[in-house]
Amino acid sequence: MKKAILALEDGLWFEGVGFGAEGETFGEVVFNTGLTGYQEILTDPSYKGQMVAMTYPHIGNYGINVADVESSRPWVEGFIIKELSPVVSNYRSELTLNDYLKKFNIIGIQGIDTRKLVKHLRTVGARKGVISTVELDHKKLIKKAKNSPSIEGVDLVKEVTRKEPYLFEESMLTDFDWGQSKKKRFNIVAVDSGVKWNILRKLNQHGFKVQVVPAHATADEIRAYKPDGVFLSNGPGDPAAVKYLVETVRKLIGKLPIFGICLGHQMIGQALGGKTSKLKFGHHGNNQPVMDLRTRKIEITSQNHNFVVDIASLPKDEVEMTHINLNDKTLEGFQHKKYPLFCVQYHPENSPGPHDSDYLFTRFYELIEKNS
Amino acid sequence: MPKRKDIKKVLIIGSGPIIIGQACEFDYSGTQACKALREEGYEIVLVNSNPATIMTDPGIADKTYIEPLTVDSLTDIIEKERPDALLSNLGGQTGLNLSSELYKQGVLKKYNVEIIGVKADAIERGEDREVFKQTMKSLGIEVPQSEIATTIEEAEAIANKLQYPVVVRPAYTMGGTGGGIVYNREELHTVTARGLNASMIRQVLIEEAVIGWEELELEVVRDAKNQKITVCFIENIDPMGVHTGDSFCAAPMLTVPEALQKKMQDYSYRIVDAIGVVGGTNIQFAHNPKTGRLVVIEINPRTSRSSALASKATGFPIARVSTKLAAGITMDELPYWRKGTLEKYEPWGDYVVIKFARWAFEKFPQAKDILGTQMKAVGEAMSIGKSFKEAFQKAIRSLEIKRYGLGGAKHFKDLSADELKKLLHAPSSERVFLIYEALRQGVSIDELFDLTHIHRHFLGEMKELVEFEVMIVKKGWKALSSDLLIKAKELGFSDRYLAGILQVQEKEIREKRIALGKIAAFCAVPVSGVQDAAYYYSTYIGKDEVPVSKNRKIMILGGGPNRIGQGIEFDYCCCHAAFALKEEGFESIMVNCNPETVSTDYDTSNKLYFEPVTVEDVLAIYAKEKPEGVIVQFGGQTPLNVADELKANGVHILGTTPESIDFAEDRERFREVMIKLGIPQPESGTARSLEEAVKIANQIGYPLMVRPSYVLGGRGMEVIYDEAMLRRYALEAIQVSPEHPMLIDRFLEQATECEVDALSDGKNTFIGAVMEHIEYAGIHSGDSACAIPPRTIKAGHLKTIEEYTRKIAEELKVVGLINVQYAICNDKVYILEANPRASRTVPIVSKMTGVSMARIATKLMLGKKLSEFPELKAMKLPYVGVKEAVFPFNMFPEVDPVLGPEMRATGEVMGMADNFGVAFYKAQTATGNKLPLEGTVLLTVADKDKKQVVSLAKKLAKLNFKIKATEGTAAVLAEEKIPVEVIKKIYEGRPNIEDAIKNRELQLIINTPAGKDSKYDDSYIRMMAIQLKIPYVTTLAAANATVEGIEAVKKEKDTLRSLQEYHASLKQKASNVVPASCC
Repeated sequence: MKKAILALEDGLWFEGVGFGAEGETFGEVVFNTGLTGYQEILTDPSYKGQMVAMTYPHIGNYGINVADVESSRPWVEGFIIKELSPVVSNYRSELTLNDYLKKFNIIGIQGIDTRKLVKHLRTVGARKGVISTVELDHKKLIKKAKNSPSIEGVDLVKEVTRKEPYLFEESMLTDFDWGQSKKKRFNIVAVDSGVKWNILRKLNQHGFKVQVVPAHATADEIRAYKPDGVFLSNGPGDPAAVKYLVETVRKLIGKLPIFGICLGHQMIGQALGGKTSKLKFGHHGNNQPVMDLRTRKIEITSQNHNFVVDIASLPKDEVEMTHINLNDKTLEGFQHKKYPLFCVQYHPENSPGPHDSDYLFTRFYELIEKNS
Repeated sequence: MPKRKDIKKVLIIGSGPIIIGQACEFDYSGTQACKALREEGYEIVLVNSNPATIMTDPGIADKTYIEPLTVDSLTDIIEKERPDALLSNLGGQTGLNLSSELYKQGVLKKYNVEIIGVKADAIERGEDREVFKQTMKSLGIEVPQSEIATTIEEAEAIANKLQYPVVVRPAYTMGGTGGGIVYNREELHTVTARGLNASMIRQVLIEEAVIGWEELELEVVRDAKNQKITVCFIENIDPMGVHTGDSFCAAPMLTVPEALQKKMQDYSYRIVDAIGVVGGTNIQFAHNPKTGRLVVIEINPRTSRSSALASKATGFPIARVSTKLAAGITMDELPYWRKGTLEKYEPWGDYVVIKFARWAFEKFPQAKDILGTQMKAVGEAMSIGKSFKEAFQKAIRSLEIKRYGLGGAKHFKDLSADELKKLLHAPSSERVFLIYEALRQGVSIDELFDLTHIHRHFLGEMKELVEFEVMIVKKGWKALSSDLLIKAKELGFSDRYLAGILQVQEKEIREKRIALGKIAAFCAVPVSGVQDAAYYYSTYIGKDEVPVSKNRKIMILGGGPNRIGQGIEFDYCCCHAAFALKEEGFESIMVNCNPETVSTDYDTSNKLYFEPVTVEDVLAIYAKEKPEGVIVQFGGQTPLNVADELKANGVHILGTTPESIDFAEDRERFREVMIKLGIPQPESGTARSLEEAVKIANQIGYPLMVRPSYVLGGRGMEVIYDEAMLRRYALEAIQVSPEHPMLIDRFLEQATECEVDALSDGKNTFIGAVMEHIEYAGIHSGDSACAIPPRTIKAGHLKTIEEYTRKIAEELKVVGLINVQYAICNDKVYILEANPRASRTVPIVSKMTGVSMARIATKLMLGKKLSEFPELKAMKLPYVGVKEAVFPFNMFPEVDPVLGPEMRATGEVMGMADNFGVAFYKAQTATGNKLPLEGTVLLTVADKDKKQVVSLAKKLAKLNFKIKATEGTAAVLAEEKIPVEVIKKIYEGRPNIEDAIKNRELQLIINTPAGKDSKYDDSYIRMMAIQLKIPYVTTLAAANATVEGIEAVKKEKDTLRSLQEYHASLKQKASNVVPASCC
């Protein structure tokens, strides 16, 4: 048990106990209000550049198992929790959370008042922070946090995207299958800006053959696969910094059916001339209410983004708003009035059942069907 | 969708008496249902046989019927009231089954009543095991392999196929009644036979045993728009094999990965869509952690014990919301504290909720303390904390079992690791306490996991507690650093427990930690579905976030978990205290830890603190809120146990002082005062040694009533007939000593017992009612039936009783309620005991007389005088109410169901009618023990009863009953020329009583037990009667009442009236039978 300190740029600091790796780590401190799902959060590439504080007090209780991960590794810059489970108790568990973080050299801190931290972040918004097990002078750490680079303007996609193209063949676990076996499988290219595996599993399950390409793949490279459609994945950081992908998307709009999630949505927004801006403290967690403006149905969605596409910046004659966040009325989805294109800011793959957001994958299938 | 306008009048069926598996959670859900529908302007007709409930208060529904929950009586009510709709899913299994029966028998169609909430076909899809299986199959969801058996032979064939062990589950029962896990053919036979009898449709399911799997529950809500939300994910820490009602649970799930939770949610949504439930549904899963196989065990398309728990754990009032949804409203029209409306609900929070069951094995020494698929708990406590460790330790001290932490229970600390492991082989009520000691002895987590299948995570948490405890004990109090004391509090150790292990006074611990600034902080549980609610819990982790008002306020201490001797009646009183405080303009603050209750509903009081009722927890709230006073006399024994200490710590107790309450418990002082007041008492004495006991016994003369001092519900009381029995009792049963004195009273034989509930303002006293017990003195008052008004007590005696009551109330300076029990023996009134506090009968008296006793008592405590209540006038009751007790013997098949001085009833029902006979008959019907109007009666009575059995038999013969009797009894009857057929006892050859019972040749059994010291054990008669649901009577007094009841019902048809109609018929009374005593 090693002493560790978490310090924020605005002077708030906590003393706790370190776990996982030792050392010092920087990132933007955000929080997640989910009651479970820490493993999915750790491995979600959208968290690159961030340190995540969990509001639920007990974390690590069921260890880590490979089947539940969202990508090949954990991406968070640091992990902040109230209490780490001393003993892991899942049969499937292959590693404890402690060993897992150690293995990937990620620093965790436990034993801090996460409620206080989260209340603070709720009030002031996301803050840069540092966790250290080597420097224990909080004053020095606060200064370090202040001087650490912001994620604004930084392209984190290039850190998390897979460098080589590959075919993704894993589907959802069989017992998740809703038995909708599609007659025809469509070929799509998924642009990996830090894609969560569950999205790819969902795509497979919904009747797509998924060719994954790196985020820096060009429009020509993508079209060379002769896909029936293009999927734009989620990803971390400031969408304005991923200019090359915006450019690629611009070249594909109108040429191929496109579906975007999260960062993918932001890429499309920018490609259509829209602007993105940073939210006060972002949307993180699996209980964000979103309304589908056409059906007036509400979905409880899982979200993880710090930036949004500004509604006013989108060209009104081209774009139809389809989804809106009911908490802060920010944009959660839109479609093109002319072209086969739609996207959502939230994560439809993480919502339960056919009753929530699963229909979006079906919609993508139908969109391609109509256009082919 | 807005509410439905095509229905105006809604019938709600309650769940009847409190029994194991169906407790006051249905008072909670039913009360919410009534309130929710009335808010929407519907007229409510409510039927429930349980008079102790809040829901049957005349103000809760428009028409309240305290009537048996049978198809017949419901049909009469429907015919009279002509409701438009029937709400099926808020009255527990009873309400659901009854709705389904009314539908099947065409009653609903005939009177054009529509089922709302869960429709008849949906009930079938959810409850009929075979239909359910098919539905699951069509959804592609696995259920445990199983087949239905209607005979023992079928059961055996199925079991052979599935391989032992298998689970036997009777269809349409609750709490797993009659079912169980069987490991061999012989057990299969026994349990299947029992199960077939317990099932309404004589059907059992023989099911693959999934013992040791994880047991996980979801509470989902669906509305008419097909919107679905999950209110709560509950993890049963005890794995499959222990009934969920007995399981130790956590919410939210703590060791279940997200993916599995999502999968269960998927399944649940598919299930509620397919079943078509509108409202809440509880879905139970079993998950094999080794293989990942997930199966649905059962669903409850209704409010349930789990839904009450989920409601309290999350602040989501499932019953209220379910009711609104049944009325056609949808979730997008109901408020949600976080973001607008309820369809956006998502479980949230940064706290841990623990539920722990409360058992009553001490009441049933013959019953084995082994937990299985049949529920045995009589109540439960819930606790909220910031961590598992904190919540867990709070749950333990909430249980009221004189344990304030996990260690040191019973003699477990002295056992070796091997002995502990042996005890852990089968799940029992002591499991967690045994695990704690085993960890202390160094038994490894892996070993404990193999024995119990409790997740290593939880075992690990317990291990941390043990290690910390061992470490601080080693350090000792003097050397204990401030940091460690603070750490101990953050780990959830109670002051009391720390005091015990560190061998100091609790006060020392408290003072030191307060000096260190370690005081309890309070946090809110946000409430959904309503606009404003104030619901809080304490923690030693983090900062206080709860604002305090400057209003005048009063705190009410609740009754904690239900147990035998302390149930819903006390919750009823606490709720009324809260209502009265509101009426008087005070802010009411409720403290209680029982999730099943109305008192812990968010709108009962202004502020709810969901906390253990212990000195530490109450003082913390008192220090924070600084109320003007605390009400302790309504919550039963729980608050009284802490009252003295609270007072010593500066808490202002309202009403009758703790000294007065205590005084009544101190038999010696009590005796002195009775002598002073000139009130006769059975001769008595207190013995502090065996010699003394024998001496006192000889002075008084046998038979004797003996008991340990300071007990609730007659714990350990016995009737002693001779010195040998006395010696055995004194030495073995209670180990009499100066610290544990033994009380010895003369036992009044064949004495009529009665009791009085009265109100007093310290000067004047008002008699609420005198209740006459049916059974003679010697049967615990909680177990005996009673009638209001009294039926045989002479006017002169009633006057004496009233006078004595007033004298005692004045002597004890009672401000509030008092209950006094009397016996009339040889034409003389004796006092048995006086309890200056709320009694079990307060709700019954209130309902019979229309006087809200607890409400007025509260106002008296606030300083009002009796003269300020003009409604307190002597009333003539033009009707009769009979209360009957309900027992859990069907859950303890190994227990002899005889009545005695130790209370064993879990609940009660009431019958109301114009005369005693019909009221008694109705009360019996309401207990499920419907008396026959024709057929054969078995008479077999003890020698002492033989003389009186003659007149009884004559009456039965006159009523055209055929009489069978055992040899001795038959001889007495034959002498009197009463036609009787002799029947053999079990050891006398065949065919015998057993054959007759099994062949259902007997419709009524009157059997007074020969007693413990009899040569022959006749308990099998009573045990079999219970198994086969044959009405049985074990005292002659009750037998006489039974005959009177049958006679009355055969003679006339009762006129059905609602409680409101009964009350309207009350006339002020001029005569002096029950005189008013105030002013």
